[in-house]
Amino acid sequence: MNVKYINPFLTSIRNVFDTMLQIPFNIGKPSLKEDPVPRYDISGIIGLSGGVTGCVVLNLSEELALQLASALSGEKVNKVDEDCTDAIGEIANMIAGGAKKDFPGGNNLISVPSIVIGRHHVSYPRGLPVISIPCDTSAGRLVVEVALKENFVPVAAGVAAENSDRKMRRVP
Amino acid sequence: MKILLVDDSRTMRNIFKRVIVGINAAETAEAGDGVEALQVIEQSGPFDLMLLDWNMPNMDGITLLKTVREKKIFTPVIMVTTEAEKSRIIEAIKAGANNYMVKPFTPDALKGKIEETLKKAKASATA
Repeated sequence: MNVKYINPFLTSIRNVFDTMLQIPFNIGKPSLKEDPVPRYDISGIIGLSGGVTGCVVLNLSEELALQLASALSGEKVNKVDEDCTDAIGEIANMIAGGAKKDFPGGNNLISVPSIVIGRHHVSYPRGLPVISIPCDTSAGRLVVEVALKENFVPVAAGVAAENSDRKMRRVP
Repeated sequence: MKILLVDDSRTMRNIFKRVIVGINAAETAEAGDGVEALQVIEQSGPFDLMLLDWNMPNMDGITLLKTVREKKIFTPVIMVTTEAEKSRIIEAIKAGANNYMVKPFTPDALKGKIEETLKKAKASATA
């Protein structure tokens, strides 16, 4: 994947943390994701289409989700409920939206976010490398995973949850 | 003063409300998408200002904006969205947006946009 599609995510993650979350963070080195299974139990997923096709996944633990939701909303969020997942979806939305404005080509669209909780896997567009961008905070690590293709043939990006007794999605 | 907050994220609508409290707005109404917003406008309008997200389910913000302008509703509208490309901003302004705020934003930045938009609307109304 062209680095020109990864650098915008580094900038966008910094921007979201600095502007609306205001908690200490440290972005690590992007790397190729080898394992298709998300590391943490919560994923916020945004699809992209237009000049690029693919998806962006914000993957994090419940503990970190609660901290980020509290930071964004300005109120203590104590459980992973609709308010929490709404906040995580909005963070994913801001990261993806902020990144796409700096893509080399224009005319890119983002979907409304979907949130999956529990053990799950993400169905990335077939054949695309997935780049993983780690971001460390005091409450743990979140990972932004990016799988994009520079073409105009729509590639389905979806998610399936497995063995999960708690699934939440923002209705598209 | 009545302000309509249209965003599919409840978290974001709550952030809007906290900013608006700081400018002493009297009353707010909320909608989670364009369809709901049209119903709220019909039932509770007119509004003095609308904060409007772009990407929403059912009816997105740009479609809602075009629809309300076609209905000759000239409530000042600030698009508050992650859509940051210049082409999008131009599209929104052409559709009738009065101002544009890119997410993420600081509360002070949004407050400034709201005050600026209301001031311009007031000046335009008295001109």
